[in-house]
Amino acid sequence: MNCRATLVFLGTATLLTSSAGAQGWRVQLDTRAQAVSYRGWRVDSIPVGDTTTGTTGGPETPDGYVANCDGGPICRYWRPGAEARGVPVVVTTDATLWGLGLPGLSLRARTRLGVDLGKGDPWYGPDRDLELVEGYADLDRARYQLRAGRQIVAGRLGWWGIDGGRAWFRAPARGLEASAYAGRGLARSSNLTATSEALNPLGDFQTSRRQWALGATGRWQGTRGSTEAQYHREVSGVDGGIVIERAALSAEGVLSRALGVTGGATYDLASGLWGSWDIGARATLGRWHATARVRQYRPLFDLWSVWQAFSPVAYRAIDGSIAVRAHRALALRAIGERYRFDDPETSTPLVTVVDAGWRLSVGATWTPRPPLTIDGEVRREFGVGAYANSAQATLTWSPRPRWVLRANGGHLERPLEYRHDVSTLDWFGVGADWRADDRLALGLAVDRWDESRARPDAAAFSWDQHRLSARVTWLLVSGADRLPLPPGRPRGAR
Amino acid sequence: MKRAVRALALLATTIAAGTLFAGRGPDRFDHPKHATLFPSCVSCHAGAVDSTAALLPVPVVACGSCHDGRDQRAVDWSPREGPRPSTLRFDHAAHPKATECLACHAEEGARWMQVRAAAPQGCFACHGIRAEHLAQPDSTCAGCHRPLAETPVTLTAGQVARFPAPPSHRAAGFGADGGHAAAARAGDQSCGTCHARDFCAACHVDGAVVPSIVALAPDPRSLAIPVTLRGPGSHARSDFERAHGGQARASIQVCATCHTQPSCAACHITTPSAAQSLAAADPRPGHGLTDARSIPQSHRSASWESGHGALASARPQSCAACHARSECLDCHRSDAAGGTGGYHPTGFLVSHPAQAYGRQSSCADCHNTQAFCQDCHRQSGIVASARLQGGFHDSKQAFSLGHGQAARQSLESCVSCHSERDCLSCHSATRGRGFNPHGPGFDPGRLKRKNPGMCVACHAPGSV
Repeated sequence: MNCRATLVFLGTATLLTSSAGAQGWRVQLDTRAQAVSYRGWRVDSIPVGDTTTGTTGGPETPDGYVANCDGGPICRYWRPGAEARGVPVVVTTDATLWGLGLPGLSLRARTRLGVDLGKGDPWYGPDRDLELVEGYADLDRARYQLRAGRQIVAGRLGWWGIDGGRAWFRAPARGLEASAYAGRGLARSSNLTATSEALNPLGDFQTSRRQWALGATGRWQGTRGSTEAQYHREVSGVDGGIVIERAALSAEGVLSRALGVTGGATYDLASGLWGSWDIGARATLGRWHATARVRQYRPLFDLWSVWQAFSPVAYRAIDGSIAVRAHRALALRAIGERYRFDDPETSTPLVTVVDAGWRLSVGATWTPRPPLTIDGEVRREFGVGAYANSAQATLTWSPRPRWVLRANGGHLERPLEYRHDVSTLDWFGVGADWRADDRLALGLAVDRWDESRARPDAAAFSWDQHRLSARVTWLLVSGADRLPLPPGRPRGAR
Repeated sequence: MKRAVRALALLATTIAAGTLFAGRGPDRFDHPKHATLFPSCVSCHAGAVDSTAALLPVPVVACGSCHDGRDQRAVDWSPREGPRPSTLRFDHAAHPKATECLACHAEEGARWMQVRAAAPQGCFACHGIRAEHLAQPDSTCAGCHRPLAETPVTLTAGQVARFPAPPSHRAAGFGADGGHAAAARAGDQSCGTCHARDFCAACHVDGAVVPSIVALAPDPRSLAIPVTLRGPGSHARSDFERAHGGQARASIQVCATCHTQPSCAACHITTPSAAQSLAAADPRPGHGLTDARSIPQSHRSASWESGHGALASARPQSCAACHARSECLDCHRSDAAGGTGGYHPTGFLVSHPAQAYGRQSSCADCHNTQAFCQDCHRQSGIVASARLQGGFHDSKQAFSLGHGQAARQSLESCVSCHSERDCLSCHSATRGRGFNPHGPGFDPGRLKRKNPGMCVACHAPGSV
């Protein structure tokens, strides 16, 4: 379906272009390839009677794997799977045509092609090779804008794709804009339809017909602030039941040149719960910059699934940051957050609920000379379920305007609460980016990973590897919106 | 090798010497050397007193009698054709009282024929002007000078480039609207002494519609005067990024002095409405005007990565000004093959379980967790299929007893491996063990009204 839609769009665009004589076009090809190896897990089982008591005090297999028996006759354990190698290549094409005879009319298509040049399965979209991310016709005028085709609706609620139409109406003098859209919906944060097998390979409740999506936004922007309201609703194509119904409000205020506030919230009309919200302030005083924020995070699930009925709880957090340019060449920063989950109401005498965590990172950026930048950061955190501690540094050097050389390294520890697995990673990498001109950029990076999975049993294994990545970005353009664009040109100057 | 180096050195020396001395020669008449031969000025410069005669002598007549190639070497000199290459309005015929040549062309007390070019101070002395030449008000230039555009072509661009700049041009504020622009608007044609329309248009991209610039005649020689365009002070203010839009809407004509539409388009992906009234682009570069993209100050704050979402939600059009993808997908949906430098930092593959569980940022904002996460987890073997399988969470032998906490706190992490059937094997009223999964905040009535089909996934129709 995606492939067919892409071909139809590109064919239509080509025909329109040839007949109308497009005055401008822009095609950006972005190709990224990576050679990696990875190693997964393989589940196995053993009768409980064949297990032994291991170093952890629990049952183990004779060859040393920690097994989980859960009171049943069969214990299960996970042994390392075979090492797989993959060379995923992703080609993103972004094409825009304009100047089609009608002022403000343009056509746009953005596609992604993902293939694997190796024998392993790349983790990117193994069930689909070609995706149409967007493909639409757009008519943009000063007072209104019309768009038809596959497009993305984004905002505080997240982003959805729709196959349909959207209209904007503007009153620039008053800073007002309103829009409404409707169409067949795509799955959230995906270019796939809700009926695609690739979307939910394990689900039982996959719909057989696509949903209808509709929504509206309203926006105001003034010199001292701005605000946006959004409403989004999706209705099942099978039984008309509401799959998603949410609203969001975002606002920003500029109290002075040095002080601003932002805030916003989402509300799930379907479940009657507040989703994520935040309210924060930022201040800039001379060389100092500080932020503070209070926020809540709660996942909201579409009613395709039963997950919302499992009552995911929210956590509330307070975070802040402070940064200072201590010296012309030195900038320091620190970020911290403390969070606490709502009571999940799952306590039992056998379970102690951990419901709070914190995160802290401090870093510095040193620029001894403008082409040379060294950035380092240390991060510590403690959280529920899993957390990560790390220290890393990056050196960036631009010996010539078109060249950027980079070296980075670090150390990371990732303990897991529910699994015997403290993964430790040391990495070092070098990379180079070269911009041949405004239209062609190349990138190449090599990383060495030394990773160990620290476990008390035989499932500990090394995951050392080299990772190679390459990137080519090629911009083909007729000129008008080439990036970076030419500066203002005085008439008659030399 | 040494020979080659020597040869190159010799060649370079030869070229340098040739360049240095090329064209050098006696291009001026040596007056003092001929002091004993000529009793008066007008014997050669009859034009100084007789407007019908030439100001400069004819070499064959004036010089050839002596420099005949026998008694004296022949000379190869010819007078310039036409008037002196200068903007000066001076005409000997218009100064009949100035019969004493040396009053202007020699210093006081100088010996006979120890002459020099007339200096401005000589003019001032006669005309009763006491100030120094360049210290005169700019508006007085036209009194003695004609516009550059009316000056003979023998005045070369190189000579124009060496025109001395009046001190007023270096004064603070001269480049602003109240400086040179006010003088030009006052109708003062003195600007044209050194400048022409081309010069103004080098900076004024709207020169074609500015009356005081249009009033000037064009002359490309004016471009020889070096000029550097400096941005107004407002551009250096910290809030310029945010404020410039309002300023542009309020007085776009001020912006139009230096900017055309591509100036806006250098950063703005879309064309701001205020920019519509700016002139279209001219393909040629200007003097010093550069519109370079730069990262806004707000983006440099320590918390920008975690906090920009709220700003982007409230004011997405600001993002769209610079980011072609206002939907943020370029960053928020980076390719798996992207390597370093994407949205996620190096080593994220290893740290992502912690970050996913901790929800510092929402995975679901950019990823469809059921597709994106399960795709990879399934290939890595980290997947529950067909029935609930224990063992993976091996550090808790009784994990199933406490999994409710994990599920309620980070259900998105659970569903990256588990499907509904895993949970409904216990948590279903019809096909499971009847464990109630509903917890805090669960509103059965609302959910039933919104989507009754969801209820029958676990409950028999009509039972709820």
